[in-house]
Amino acid sequence: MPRSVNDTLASVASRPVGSRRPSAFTRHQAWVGWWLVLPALVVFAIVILYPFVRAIVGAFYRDTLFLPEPVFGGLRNFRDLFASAPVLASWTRTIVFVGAGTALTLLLGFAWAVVLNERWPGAKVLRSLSLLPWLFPSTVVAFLWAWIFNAQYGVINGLLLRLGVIDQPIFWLSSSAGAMSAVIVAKTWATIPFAMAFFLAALQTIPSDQLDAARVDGAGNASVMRHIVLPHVRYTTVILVVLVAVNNLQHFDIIYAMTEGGPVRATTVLAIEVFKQAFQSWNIGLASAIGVVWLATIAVPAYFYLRSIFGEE
Amino acid sequence: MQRTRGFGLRHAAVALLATAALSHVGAQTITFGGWSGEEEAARPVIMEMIDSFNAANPGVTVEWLGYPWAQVQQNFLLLLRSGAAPEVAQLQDRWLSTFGALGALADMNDVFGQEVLESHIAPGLLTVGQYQGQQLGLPWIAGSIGLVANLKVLEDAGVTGLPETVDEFVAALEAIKANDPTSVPFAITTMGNATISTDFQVWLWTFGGNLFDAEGNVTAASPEAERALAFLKGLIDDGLAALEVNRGDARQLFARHQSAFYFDAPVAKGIARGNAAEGAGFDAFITPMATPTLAAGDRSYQTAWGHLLVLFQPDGQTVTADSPAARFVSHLVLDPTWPIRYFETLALLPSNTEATMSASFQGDPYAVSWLDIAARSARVDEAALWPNAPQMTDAIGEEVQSVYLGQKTPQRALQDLQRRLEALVAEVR
Repeated sequence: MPRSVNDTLASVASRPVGSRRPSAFTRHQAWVGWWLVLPALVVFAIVILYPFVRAIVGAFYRDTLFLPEPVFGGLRNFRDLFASAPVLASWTRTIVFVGAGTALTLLLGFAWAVVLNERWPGAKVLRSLSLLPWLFPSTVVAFLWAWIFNAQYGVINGLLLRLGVIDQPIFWLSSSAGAMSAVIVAKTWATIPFAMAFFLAALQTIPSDQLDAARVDGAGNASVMRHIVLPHVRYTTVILVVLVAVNNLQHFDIIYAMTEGGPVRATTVLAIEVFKQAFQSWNIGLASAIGVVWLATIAVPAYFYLRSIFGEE
Repeated sequence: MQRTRGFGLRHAAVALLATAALSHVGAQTITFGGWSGEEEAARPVIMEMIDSFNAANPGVTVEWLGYPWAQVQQNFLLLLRSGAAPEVAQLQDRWLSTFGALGALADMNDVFGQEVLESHIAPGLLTVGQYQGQQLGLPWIAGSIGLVANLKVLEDAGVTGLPETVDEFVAALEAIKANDPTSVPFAITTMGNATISTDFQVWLWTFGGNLFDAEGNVTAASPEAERALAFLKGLIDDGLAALEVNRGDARQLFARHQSAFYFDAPVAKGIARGNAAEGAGFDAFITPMATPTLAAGDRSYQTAWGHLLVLFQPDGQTVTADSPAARFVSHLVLDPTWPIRYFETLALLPSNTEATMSASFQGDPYAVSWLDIAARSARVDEAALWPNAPQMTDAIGEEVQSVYLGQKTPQRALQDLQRRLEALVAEVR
């Protein structure tokens, strides 16, 4: 006769506290749990874990197209990497791109969220429209901004020429600073809706009685912002800094589609460098080593992000 | 009765399975990889080529393996490493050295015989498929990256006839700029390493320079190269060429009558049709032209360009002319039927000599003129002769662009280019 659930629970309840041997029911539950997560674990192992481990192991091998098979090289790839001025410059450019892109995204995303949080005619429609840049494929964003910045037939030069501000087109993408600024602007534009949505959600959870009380006490806009709004969105800001920074660190498509990493490597960030080493130079070992450095760079903000999530739990 | 019917059904099923199995005995499947079959305009004719071969060769089935152009090289290399490369593949000409260095391709001279190949394809066009003395690829479609001229822009500026020398060329550019100060008379590419490299090399050769000598020694830092680079920088400084022009921009400027000259493949006419307000009416304004020379009568230069067909040869195996893969290549390129059909469908210039003599090809003056100029002046991209061609192309593009942007003098950029190319050559020697 099969045991009922009540019998099982009774046997669990009657077991002395501190017993080390798990009950049959607990063991059964554990097995069921493992079977349930097994498909996800298998997919994770094949799709994420294996390539991840292969990439890390690959960083310690000399593996180019011209070698019949990978040869263990120890730290050689890392020595080559840190001895290569162009690769190190890519790391510096990545910091600039991530730093400026993240700061601008958060600043403008927050400002836009504050505007959309107010009640005014058309605010709801504008909220929906504001999400559009986030929905565009990144290559579309890249071509849109490449057109805007284009020296010959771009929108900016067209406007400036028509207004008489300039008499010759400005070559926005022909200087290192100009090209880097352009890709930062394009990426920021595409990411602002993401930040705006987070901030807007946070702003809408501010209790209205706090705001009303502050107003009654004579607090002005600046004071409300400083003492109520900013403290309230602090945790959201921390999470957004991490998410946007990681996203910018990983970013490839807009930069590659707009500038291919140029002019003269001015926008070659780590993502572009890995692509060039792996799929243009076919130096898989060095590309893997750059990937490991890249991973270490991403790991810093990722650590704080995970701590902010699991720390609270 | 029931038993008898069941017995009969079982026998019928067994017979059916046996027939199906026997029909595959001796059947051979080969894979044809490339990108054209993935493109909407080309897909129907590519499938027709495959279907017609399958119909004519009952024991062989050709299957298509397609990727977008940008992923083809990478995917073929990965397939090659895993021993699963397609038997027949379409390659861009500049990828040949990478695959050639791996020793993975059959020498077409060994497969078909050099005389047979030269009887079907002009020797000048065959050079685009050669790597280190071997004929590793056959040009499927031929041509060059050459200059095209916008006759309307020239006429509006009062320029009569196409410039033949560099001095005439500069004079024409100045006349065009004077007529329309907002124009970019010569839309040479100043963005994108690959196109900067090919456009620069044409002028390098025109001025008598080379990146490498016959022994493969780097000769980039030469007075001739310095003069060529200074000439191009001068065009930009004088407003006769412009910064931030990639091939796509050049095509737009040309189609809008904002530019008189730019370098492109023979597809330039079709692209201009698509971009121009006049549509097909733009055909009257576009003509291929030879690159101007320093002195009248000098050899003119263009960059050889084409789509190649190659035969991947697994280790220890030899591809012979009667193998299904070789017969399929022959079907595509040595038999004139499909090159003619390909040209009629997509206006892609055939490499097959007999196809170029066909009525449909001879009835297209643009195509005839282009092929005539290419046959006289096309030269293989010097970087493409090396297995690490992409890195060399990047080095050339970056150093030339640094001069265009005013970051380096021509002399300094060429010295840096010399050093970088020497390092890259050392990697593969």
